[in-house]
Amino acid sequence: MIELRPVEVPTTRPKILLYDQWVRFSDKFPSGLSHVKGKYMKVAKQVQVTYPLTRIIKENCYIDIDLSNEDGAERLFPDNDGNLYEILIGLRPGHWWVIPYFPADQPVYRLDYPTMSPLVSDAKLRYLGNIRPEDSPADDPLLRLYAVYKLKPVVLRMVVDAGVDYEKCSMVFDINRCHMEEGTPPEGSRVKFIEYIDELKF
Amino acid sequence: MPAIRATANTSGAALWTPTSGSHWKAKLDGLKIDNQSPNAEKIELLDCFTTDPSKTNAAGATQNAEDFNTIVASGKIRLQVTVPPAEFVSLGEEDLKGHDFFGTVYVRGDTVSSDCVVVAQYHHE
Repeated sequence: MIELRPVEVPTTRPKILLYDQWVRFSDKFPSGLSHVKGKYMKVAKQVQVTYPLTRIIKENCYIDIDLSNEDGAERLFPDNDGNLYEILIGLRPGHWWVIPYFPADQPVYRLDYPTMSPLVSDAKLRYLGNIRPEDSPADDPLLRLYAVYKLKPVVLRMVVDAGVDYEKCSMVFDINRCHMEEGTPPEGSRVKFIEYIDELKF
Repeated sequence: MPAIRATANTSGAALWTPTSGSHWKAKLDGLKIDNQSPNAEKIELLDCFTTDPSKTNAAGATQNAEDFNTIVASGKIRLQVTVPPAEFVSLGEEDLKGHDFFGTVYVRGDTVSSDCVVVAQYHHE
């Protein structure tokens, strides 16, 4: 069987973490993220915050958007170790796409063969692992990122196709800002497992 | 949806200006041009905006920001219609599909005539 993009396709708006819900962070989180690594936590408070971002880009060009709290970046990550941001990323229509990188310059989506990584300078590889507006539309976003305090930068490369003159590229970040409390989930609780992003690069 | 009226003007009359950093594209829903002057009028819709600095896909070279805000000299012409004297032209959604605007939109005629009226209907999305 061939699937265009093997992701869960919900029939309604994607579910987000809700009050009183438990999560478990993977043991694969690095030791620098010991405040979450391998821990169970419960959502004690939550609020949704929207942040749109737009760039007008010339055809056949790209812009890297760093979502972290580094200088010059968008600062969409938590700034204390008690918070978890569940970030839904929606793209408005146009002739453009994003390629996610983590950390910073390493593509998240690639294939096994050594040369099969996204590469914007290559006519074929610039489309590898891309996420198009129809894959994660702004009114029903499927691209999701879990950000914790001190997570290394996540970069979204906004790429505009050749032959379109200029494109106005808009992303909408729906940030579910959760304050977490460590604990032990009661038996039978539903626990959301949160992988470290590097685990996608097996 | 808003509808804006302007008269033909060789230096360009603003139809609408999005807020700075707007996250929306404007799309035309309808365009009506009523040319009651004795001359044919060439009407252009100009899109004026500034791009963001980027890098080229080919080599990663810096692509500087470009400024298309000098209305007549640099505005991107998105639509052009020539209306004969004493004629009325009405374009609907089908005719205007795909004409997206990123920034401030100006209407410009090739002669100055208050007798040539342009009404544009649009929305942002």
